[in-house]
Amino acid sequence: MRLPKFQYKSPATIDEAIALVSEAKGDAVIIAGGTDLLPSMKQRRLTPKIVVNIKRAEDLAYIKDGENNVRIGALTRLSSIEESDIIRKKFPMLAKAAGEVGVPQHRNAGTIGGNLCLNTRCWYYNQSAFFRTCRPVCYKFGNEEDKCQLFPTREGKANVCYSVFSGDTAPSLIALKTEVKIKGPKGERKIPLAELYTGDGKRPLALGWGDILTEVIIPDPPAYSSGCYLKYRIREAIDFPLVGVAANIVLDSKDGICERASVVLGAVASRPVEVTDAEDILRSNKITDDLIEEVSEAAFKAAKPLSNLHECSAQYRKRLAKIFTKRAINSILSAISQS
Amino acid sequence: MKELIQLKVNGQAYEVAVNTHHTLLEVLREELSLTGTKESCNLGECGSCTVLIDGIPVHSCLTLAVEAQGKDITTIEGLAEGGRLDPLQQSFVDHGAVQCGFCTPGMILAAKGLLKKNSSPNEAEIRKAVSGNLCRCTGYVKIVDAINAVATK
Repeated sequence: MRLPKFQYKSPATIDEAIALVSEAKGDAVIIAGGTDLLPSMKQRRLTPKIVVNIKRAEDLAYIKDGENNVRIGALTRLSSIEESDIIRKKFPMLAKAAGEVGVPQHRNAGTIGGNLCLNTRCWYYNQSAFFRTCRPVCYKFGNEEDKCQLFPTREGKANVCYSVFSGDTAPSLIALKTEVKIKGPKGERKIPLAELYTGDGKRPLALGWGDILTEVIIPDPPAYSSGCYLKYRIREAIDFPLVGVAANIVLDSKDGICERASVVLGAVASRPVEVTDAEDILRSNKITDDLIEEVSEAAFKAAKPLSNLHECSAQYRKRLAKIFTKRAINSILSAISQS
Repeated sequence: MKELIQLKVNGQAYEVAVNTHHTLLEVLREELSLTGTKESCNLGECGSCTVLIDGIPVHSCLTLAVEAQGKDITTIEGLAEGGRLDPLQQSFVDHGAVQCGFCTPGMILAAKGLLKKNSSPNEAEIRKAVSGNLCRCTGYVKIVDAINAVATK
């Protein structure tokens, strides 16, 4: 299986890369680790005319422990995050999430920027070129008039793409209130990571042509806080999550009142899903089993996964979201009380 | 479009005109005739194309050849020195960890990458290090034993 032909560019500066991609519009893609992009190109899901390597442009592979935050360059390898002492100490949930992406070979090549900008997936879209020769073109692969093949759009209704965002690191980072720096043709901007995701499976990222995610900024964890990421998959390696639950809780003291809580679900929609009720239920309260039950029920309602395997129906995945939320919060509480 | 690049494979320098859309795997096998690196799924799922780049195991099928320029590439051909097998290779032979042999180069390089980082890994760490390498003869126990024997020596 060869890659389709393309023009390869390796600009010396990030501004040059931005200019190249913004001029080419949809004809150019950015390559970092390549572990998500190249399989898609081999299967001819993506056939860009130009591939722009940004690894030479600027040194974006770093983990910097600042005064009140940790900054991670977008080109930092997932394995470096998994093994970083700073990340392990301050954000163990992120180290764990990064360490559960794919297999070691993916993590040695794949970057944090790439994992956050992962394309959405579904069992119809993520097939081979051969598969597509005998099936109708779907909305994500094709044009505006092509229909989603999982849930064909009814006459007169707008098309919807239900493909799933399966990144492992995004739920944890959103739970940690991370911001990302984006450089583009109009300059540099900083947005909350949650706003990077549109929720539209066809265009999952809120990035314009030429926009490049350059840095991930995570605020330092407060004193009595902890996080937990739990991932469900069939095999212990390589699989994307069938459900991912990231939770982060801040208490005012050991065994104290909850000041902040966030629960973010992965792989249950076209974007990471924040369980907004979690904060309302837990804040200003001492966390009890009843409240945990209530939060996990909210997670159950917020999760809208697809059935995509015989062994794993949508209902089963919804229930997993509930159980994992409960487990995550319990493990956070015991981590804080033992700290 | 072709580009002239310098590759350093197993300590030897090569100058190759490569197609920019060719992967490192294709260049190793087709241009340099280093067919020890195996091609199987070609999508980064099976691990049989694993090579070391600067000592770190990666999928050569998901690495563009042009991006391997200036890096130190090690393939299975580069492990034996002066006709003597690398301890890992010898251990695979001794433990019967080679069955059909197709996954072996990837397995050994993934293990090599682990041992470079951590010379005395435990079994869990070994299993994690080769979790990206599939063996369809399913001889995993012997493979883990073979790596373990080198690790604890």
